[in-house]
Amino acid sequence: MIAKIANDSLRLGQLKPTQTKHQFTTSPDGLTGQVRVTSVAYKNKIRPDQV
Amino acid sequence: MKYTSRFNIKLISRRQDVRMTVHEPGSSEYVVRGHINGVSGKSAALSTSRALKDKAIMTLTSIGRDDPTTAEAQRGATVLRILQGTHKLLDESPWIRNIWFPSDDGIMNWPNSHAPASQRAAASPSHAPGVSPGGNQGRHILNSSQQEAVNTMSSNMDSHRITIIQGPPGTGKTSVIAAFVQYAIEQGVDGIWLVAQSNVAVKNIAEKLMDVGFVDWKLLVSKDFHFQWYVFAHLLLILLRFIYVRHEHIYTKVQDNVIRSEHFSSVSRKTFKNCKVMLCTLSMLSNRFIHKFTSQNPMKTLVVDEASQIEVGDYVSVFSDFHNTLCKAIFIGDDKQCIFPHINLLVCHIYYYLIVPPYGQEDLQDLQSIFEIVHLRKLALFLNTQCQQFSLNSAYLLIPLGCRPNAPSDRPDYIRSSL
Repeated sequence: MIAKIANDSLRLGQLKPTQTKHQFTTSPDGLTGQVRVTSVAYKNKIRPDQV
Repeated sequence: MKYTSRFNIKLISRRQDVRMTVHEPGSSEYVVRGHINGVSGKSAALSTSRALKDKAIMTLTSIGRDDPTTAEAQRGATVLRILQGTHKLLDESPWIRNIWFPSDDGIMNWPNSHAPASQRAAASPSHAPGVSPGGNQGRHILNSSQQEAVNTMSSNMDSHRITIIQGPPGTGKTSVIAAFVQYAIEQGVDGIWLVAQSNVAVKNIAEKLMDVGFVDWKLLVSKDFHFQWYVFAHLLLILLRFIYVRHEHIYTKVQDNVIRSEHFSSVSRKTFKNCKVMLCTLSMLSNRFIHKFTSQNPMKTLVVDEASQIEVGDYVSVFSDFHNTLCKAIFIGDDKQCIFPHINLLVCHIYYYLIVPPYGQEDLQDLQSIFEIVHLRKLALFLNTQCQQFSLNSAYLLIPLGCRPNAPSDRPDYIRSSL
């Protein structure tokens, strides 16, 4: 049971796409001079990747 | 990655690398690499080595897989603790034993200490709620299958500690949940946690509870979903408008019912201390602040909607973290593996195309939902009566043209076998 749960987690993780193309709009960031992007669709939203 | 006793405490923050194609006036498109600096709601700052002012970003692609969600990480941490021997889960949790390691005779074994005496003396199926009278405002008239489901959900018999309810779309699963909650609260039951895989399903339950006039609940929702996002924001607006029109007097109260994850650390315990019904997604149960809520409202009854979409391994963390207080688990969903003896075959076939299996099951065939655990499947109750009233013509049109059932050979095995 433990082996299957661990293995399923691993396999499900491998199903995640290695690249995600985002739908977005852009706007200037007045403070930094950089660009801000705003996600348009929840399913491919820009995530803060943290572990 | 470094593990801690609380796996979901975030130790390392890494940048999300992205690749952009940029179009500059008078020039061709070229590729720029950069990273995401910070995300707030659906907006994020882009950091690149080249200034992008006055340039058009044509495409934006994140590189690399998403990191594990909190729930995924929590599941992994639970498995790790079991393997390390710090968790005696397999010995201590009757939920794990009865779901994954059934006895040969099929009888589930529950420790006597596993349910409060007050609850054990409560309803058995023969004393379960009657059909709600139509004149009682905010109540539903239950059909016989819904009535049986609510009876079993309300029962504290050992044989009903795990209750599985199976119902195709439109058979009133959410109504059954609302009826159960109303009856349970009337009986003095507390510690009811209503969870689902998706935020939308949780929202639907909340909506149904309000529809029957029950508002003494709290909804825990992720700021990522609630904050700016169209689905929840839009539906919540509809919901609040609906409430405003139908139950103006509770409008203000409902606003206070939603607690966003960004406020979990600061929200006063008084806010939810006497609340007997909590709603959230299954993933939210892995939130690092969840014990703030479960300490005030211990999880005694777990009701899982959309259970057919949840891979059974996702419950390990729940049965690990809450097995000391959890007395009853109710799983509600619609699983394609089950045969519905009372419903029209065409509806059966239509239903086959509408159900949603656990994520990844199409690729990983051996993933199981709770409905696919053989010894539990036998326990399933079926909601069926309303399904016969399902509009066949409307439902038939939902099936893609090439998939519509024309010949018996097209039909899934379970339908052919019942022909």
